[in-house]
Amino acid sequence: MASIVKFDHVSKVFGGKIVAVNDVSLSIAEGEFVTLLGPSGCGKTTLLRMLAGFEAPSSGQIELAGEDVTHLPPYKRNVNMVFQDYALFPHLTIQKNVAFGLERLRMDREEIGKKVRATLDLVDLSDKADRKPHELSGGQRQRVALARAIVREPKVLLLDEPLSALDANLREAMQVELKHLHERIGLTFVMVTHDQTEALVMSDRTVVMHNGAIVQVGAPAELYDRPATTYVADFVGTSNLLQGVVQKVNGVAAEVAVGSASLRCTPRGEVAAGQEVIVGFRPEKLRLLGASEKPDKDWNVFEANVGEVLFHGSSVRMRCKLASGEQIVCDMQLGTSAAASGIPEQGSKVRFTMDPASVPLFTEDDRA
Amino acid sequence: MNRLSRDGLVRAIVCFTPILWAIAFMFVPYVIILTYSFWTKKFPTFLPDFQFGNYALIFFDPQYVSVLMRTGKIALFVTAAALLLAYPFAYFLVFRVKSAKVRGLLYMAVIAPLWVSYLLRAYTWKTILGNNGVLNSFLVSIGILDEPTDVFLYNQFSMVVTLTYIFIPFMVMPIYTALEKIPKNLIEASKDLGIGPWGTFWKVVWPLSLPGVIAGATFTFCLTFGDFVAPVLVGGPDGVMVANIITSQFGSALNWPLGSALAIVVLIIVLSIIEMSDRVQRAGRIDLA
Repeated sequence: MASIVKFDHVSKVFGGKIVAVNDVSLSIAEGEFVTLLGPSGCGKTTLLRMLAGFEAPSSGQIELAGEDVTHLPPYKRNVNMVFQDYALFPHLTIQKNVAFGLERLRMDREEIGKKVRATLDLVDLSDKADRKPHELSGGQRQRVALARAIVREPKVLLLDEPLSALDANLREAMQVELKHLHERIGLTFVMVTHDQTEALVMSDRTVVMHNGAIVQVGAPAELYDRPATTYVADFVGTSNLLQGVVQKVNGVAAEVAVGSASLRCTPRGEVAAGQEVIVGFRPEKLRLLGASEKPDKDWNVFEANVGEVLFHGSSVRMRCKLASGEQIVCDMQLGTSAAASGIPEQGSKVRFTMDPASVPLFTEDDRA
Repeated sequence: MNRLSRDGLVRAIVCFTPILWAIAFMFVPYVIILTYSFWTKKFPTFLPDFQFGNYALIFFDPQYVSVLMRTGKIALFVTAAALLLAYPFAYFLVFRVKSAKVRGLLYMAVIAPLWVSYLLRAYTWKTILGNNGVLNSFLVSIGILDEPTDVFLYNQFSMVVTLTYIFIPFMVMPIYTALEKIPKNLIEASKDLGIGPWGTFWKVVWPLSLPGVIAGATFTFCLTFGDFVAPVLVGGPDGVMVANIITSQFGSALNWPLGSALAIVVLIIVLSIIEMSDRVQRAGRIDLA
């Protein structure tokens, strides 16, 4: 697929010393839904604002549909943005807000009217056309912002934390709605968020950023299952990260001593016996072994003491302690039978088992 | 005295002091002036009466009508000049000056003259525009004029200049506040939607700053309308404004009833303008939150 956006070694330095974006190269394919994910201050918003034209890169080049737009002002770029707090024009009706950007596109009045109505239909707001923004709810305002941006048929739609101002229930509904909208209109979406769930649910590809640089780019499942660094492992979902020492390497598996336990893991790169490493695994990859149950012979088995047990409804989260003192977190899905049965009691001793394939190994270099 | 009634007493004092103040020092004087305006003059004093002769004189004697018209004209010119100067300045401060410190300093530079005596500020222009003033000396020294001219001072032009200078802070303050309240992302949104800087100004910034413009124009117009110092200091024979007539009626002309009637007319004009601007603002009220 043709790439529609290309960041080529783009950096942005504010005030001569604050490096907001550090040498980012990224190519986005046409029709893709890409999410820039990271904590606040990681440079994701600056990257988006440079694509919109609100900030000029300190170095590097930005291409949009094959054209160098690095120094083009925002009003000459064919991208549109959905702002975090929507930035609707308070003095104009919804209809005029949506029509705002159309007048320059050499369209006659009738055509503009038709287009505005069609777009308002698309976001299900045709009945609010003559209202002012302050008469609308948060979710409706957000849909107006969306309509205003897509009505100009931009090459790329930019979304700056579009759901962060909504309450939890609405946010979940809007995630799905945005995803459907993306599928329906086939536009390229670039979204900035600090919410990993949003990134995982909505995007085709997620770009994880940290300290102005890209840490990992990949499909949500790839990021989740094969995080490149401990940072990604911890930021995308939850991970247990334990210090260990490699005992033995045989083929694709490595045996690592973690406190009192010995775990078989899948290293991402080269490791040697005696090397200090970090073992990572997701809380839900642990399976509780029944008292008399026999584990699969290839799987890891280890013992732990149950500390706190937190009830989440469909699952429980247990904070456990290995005999050597390491804390781990384990999520257990509650089955089809009554909820409370089978949950280990606080203070009891349990055995966990875990597939070595779901235990990635990080070296010190991956600690970013 | 128990606690409850003491609280009540405190509340009563807090509520009624300003009301009493307003009644004693605003409402009562207005009523006195209003009463006077119906009296008749009988040299050397005035007789209590109820007749509209004073008002009739104001509206049918061309002398008073033309002073009222002139006052309105000068107030309009001052308002327009102040707006043309204050708006770009406030815009520059809010949108172009990056450093908050510089912005604060420049803003203070415009507001600070308010703490300087009015007379002193009016006199400043006398020394600038006068026959031996700064402007004349400058024009003579660079050879544009052969000898100093007196066209700058003692006319309506010098009054507009002086009054604009004196009242411009009242124009800058509300416009600055209105511009500052406009969320910056609205301007970004407009540019994002393909509208250039000029279009963005007319479609976003100007309409959203209108409340400030209206407030500033109202201040400036009403303050100028009632001014009587600038005409005395820098106005010439054709620079007499309505407030000068009022002072002279209470002074040398010794015609308090006519002066009172004029004062009531000015009061009604000013109140109507305030009411009008209030209505316009309320109709266009925009929730920026």
